[in-house]
Amino acid sequence: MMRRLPKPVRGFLRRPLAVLGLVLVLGMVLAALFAPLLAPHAPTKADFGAILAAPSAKHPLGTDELGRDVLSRLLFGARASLQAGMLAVLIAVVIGVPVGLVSGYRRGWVDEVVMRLTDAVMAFPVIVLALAMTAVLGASLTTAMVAIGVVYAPVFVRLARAQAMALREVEFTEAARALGNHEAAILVRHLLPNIASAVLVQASLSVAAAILVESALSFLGLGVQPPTPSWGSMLRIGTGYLLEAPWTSFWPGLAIFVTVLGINLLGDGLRDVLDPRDR
Amino acid sequence: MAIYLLRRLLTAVPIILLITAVVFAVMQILPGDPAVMLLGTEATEASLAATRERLGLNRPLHVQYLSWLGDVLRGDLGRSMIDNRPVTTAIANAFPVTLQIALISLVMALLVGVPAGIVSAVRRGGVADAVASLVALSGISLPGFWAALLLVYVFALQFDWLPSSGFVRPSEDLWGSFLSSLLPAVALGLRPAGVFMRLLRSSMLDVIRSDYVRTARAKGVGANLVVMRHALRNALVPLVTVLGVEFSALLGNVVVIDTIFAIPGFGRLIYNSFLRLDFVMMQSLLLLFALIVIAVNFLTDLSYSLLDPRIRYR
Repeated sequence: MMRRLPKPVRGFLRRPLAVLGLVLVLGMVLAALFAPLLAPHAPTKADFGAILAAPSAKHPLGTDELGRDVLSRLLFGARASLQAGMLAVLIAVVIGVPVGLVSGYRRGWVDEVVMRLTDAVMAFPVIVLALAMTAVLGASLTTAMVAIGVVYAPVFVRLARAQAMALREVEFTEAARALGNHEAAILVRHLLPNIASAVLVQASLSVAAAILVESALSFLGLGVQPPTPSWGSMLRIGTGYLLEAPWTSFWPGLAIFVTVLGINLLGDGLRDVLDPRDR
Repeated sequence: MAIYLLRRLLTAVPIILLITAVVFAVMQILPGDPAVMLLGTEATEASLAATRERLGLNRPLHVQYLSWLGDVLRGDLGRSMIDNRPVTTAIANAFPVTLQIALISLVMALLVGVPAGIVSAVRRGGVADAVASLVALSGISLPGFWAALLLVYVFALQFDWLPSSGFVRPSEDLWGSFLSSLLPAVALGLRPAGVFMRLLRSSMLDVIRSDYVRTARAKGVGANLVVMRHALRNALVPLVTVLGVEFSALLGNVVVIDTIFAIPGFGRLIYNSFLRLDFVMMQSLLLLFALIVIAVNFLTDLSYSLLDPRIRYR
């Protein structure tokens, strides 16, 4: 059966850590999708009779400071984290790749301006820039996603630019130019497919980083707003009950860790298979 | 070299100017009125107008920008709008704290990451390699604030070996200061340790497979000596590059770690200034962050020529 699969897929399946990553990521995605079916309780339903209750048959992972079920909130929280990570990177790709392609293909003053702008954005630590943008736009999940997307865009600008610079000199690009193709057509039809795998690898690793930043912002109270459950904000509250109810902070942290580890393993596997120059 | 230095410094000027413009623009689009922040919402329109006049907020934007730029160049960053402290004093108090924790953290990360990367590369494909690789990726994947909480739970709350929060200044108690920076430094260092390990592994693998290492081996140079003399030396340039990047990332991560450990460092300063919309403090700190990152990049570039004689600057 293995033999019928395309070579990159076979290569991927032969790496145990990459497969582990895929399994972890799929598990989290399924948990997020089927949260309403899997959750034993409503994620925002308070039960004042069971405040900070230890794990039990009724509440397998215990309850939080309002008596809400930790497992249910964890499952629904997966939606916020995964959505934030993927949309933030999507924003970064949508801004970064076209800008980088044009910048690297045209060179000249366009390239110069773009590069100085990415230098300026990259001179700020991610969290600090996201903090500044949240202060401007107000704290919400959308703000956090846009902020992370803008901050990561330069990574994709650089990536697309480097590839475009290399590919503009290659024969097939020259041929396309000689045939009188429009610049936009060359960029979309000839350059874009050639950088797709590099972008995919970088995007998968960036999703992991974006989830970490989103959870840090939510942890600081600047991301997802209550009562919507998110892993970062659960941890924020749990910090206050570290001794009495360690489960309120342990499980959301573990969920972030496992998700990010899974995505990183998956991204590493993809890179090994798609981009053999790197290890 | 001297000419390269000069040119490099000159190219930094437009970037720094661009950054000051970005910082100034961010301050302009921030919601809230600094005059109201200072006087409170009860203030009369007349006193608000007087304060705006005094702060120069009525002047055209480009005049405000240039006057701020002039003040910054003269080393006058203004006073905090919350407690009226000079911003330079607040920075002078917070910066050594963060620098101390950052340095301890990076040194620990190097001490763990570099040997682990070497072992991993030398025993490529073995059990040690697989374990080290998974541990390194875990370090990168761990949310720092969660790691911090786990550390506090184990080392402070369960065993009472280390303080759970607060910071002791080295001038008060040197050993106590080290102990108080240990948990935050470990929490911050997990990520760079993983990054260093992965980097060292891959760059050593490149060298180990290269022709000149094969030649050295064939000449009968002992395997350990080959690794140390050739492979490690070639891994230094990428390592220094990543060290600079990780230092910048660490400056961002202290925002979270300072909050957890109640450390009076850079992170808390910037977090509080954003939370209370202390405009003057915010713009100074944003600028300072960017300048530090640029300075670190500059030093990184300079160190290349020291580490690798093939890299010469013209």
